[in-house]
Amino acid sequence: MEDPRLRLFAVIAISICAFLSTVGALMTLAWWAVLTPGPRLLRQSPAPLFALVPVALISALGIATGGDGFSYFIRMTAIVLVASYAYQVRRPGEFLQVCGWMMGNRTGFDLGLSGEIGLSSLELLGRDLSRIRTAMQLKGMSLSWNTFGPIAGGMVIRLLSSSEDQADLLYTRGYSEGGTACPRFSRGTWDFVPFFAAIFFLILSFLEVRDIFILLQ
Amino acid sequence: MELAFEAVHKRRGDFTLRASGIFGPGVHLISGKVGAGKSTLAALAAGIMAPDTGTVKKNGVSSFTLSLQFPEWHITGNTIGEEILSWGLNAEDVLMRVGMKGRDHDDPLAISRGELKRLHLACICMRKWDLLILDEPFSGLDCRQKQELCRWIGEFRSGILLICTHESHFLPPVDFLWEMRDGVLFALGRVPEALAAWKQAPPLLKSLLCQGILPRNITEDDVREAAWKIRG
Repeated sequence: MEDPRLRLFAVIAISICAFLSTVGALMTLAWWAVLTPGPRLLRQSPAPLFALVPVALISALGIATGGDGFSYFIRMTAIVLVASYAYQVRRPGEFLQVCGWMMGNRTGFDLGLSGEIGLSSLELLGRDLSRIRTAMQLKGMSLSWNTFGPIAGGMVIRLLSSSEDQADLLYTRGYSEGGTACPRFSRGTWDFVPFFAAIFFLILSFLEVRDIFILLQ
Repeated sequence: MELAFEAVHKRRGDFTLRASGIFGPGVHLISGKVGAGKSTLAALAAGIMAPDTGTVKKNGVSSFTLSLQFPEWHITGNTIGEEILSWGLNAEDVLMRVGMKGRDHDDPLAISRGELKRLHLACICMRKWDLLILDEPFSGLDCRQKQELCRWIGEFRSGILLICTHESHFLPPVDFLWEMRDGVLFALGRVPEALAAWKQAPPLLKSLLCQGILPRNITEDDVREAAWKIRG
């Protein structure tokens, strides 16, 4: 999906669909697997799969205590996979453009800018982690409880320092509030297919399973 | 002891690196323009990047490291003392060597890049390596520090030392010369015989070579001494 507006709305719709029911989550998984390049992107960069570790732990705890851990696992897995797809295909500046288009140059710009800063911080953390792994490899160090603390602390300090630099940069460029986003969007030929599919699945997820079969009859 | 590149191909976006050659014991200078592929070659040599095709073999090399261009990329400690310890060195000895005594509690990211580079290079040079790869070791250093680094490199006696740089003024004494041209590695041979084939030689050295004068090596002193021969 090239148009970030359609992608954003489709991701929101399909995430709600996944959250509502297990059937909705299964439809979401099908949407992710068939209508997005998510599986291919995940093979190239499987890091988002780590987010499933706490999900699996909570699900196991839920099953062990007699709760609906299985449903939770399916629903959260679907949401994590959709979120990882949305993160992996995004381009810098896109969120700012969408917010500017949706809510104008004041609220939209501020919201978009905050979102962009947040997303770029995530990228910065990813790059930092990759560099630290290389540095540790070059020093012949391995990750242990002794090294984990200083490394995690260093990453947080670097992130805070980078936020300070960003704030200084915005200030020196005269930013106080709002701005001009000038959004421009391009749309792929098949962009509407996953968009309408997401909306359709969301509508279906509001219906009871038996209602779907009644509708089909 | 050798580092062998066997028909190595590495593609990064539009750029393709091709390298074949054997680096034996001694000091090897790999020169080339910015973007010619020196850092990619260094990363492949250190094993932090894998080639698409071909192999990089380290025969008889038991200890090796790579000094990346940006010293902050090496930081794993939150203080200068922790950073030095992460290299397995005594903080006091290193700080004494780089003239930063008493600063072991400072934040390594709060000092200037020049100071950090000097500190990082001191940590690297104070350990013994079978294979040491220095990627742009002169960047961020002032003239005096560059001269000091050349002196350190001149003291390198055993093992394989690869220096990837586009520095054209302050150069250390080297044994072998290599050149990266548009992503392709060329072996020019042993110095000083190899100098005649050095396409991206520093301007003064090039003008000496044009006049048929072959300096003993590529250091500032060697080039100056050769230039005096013209005047003499």
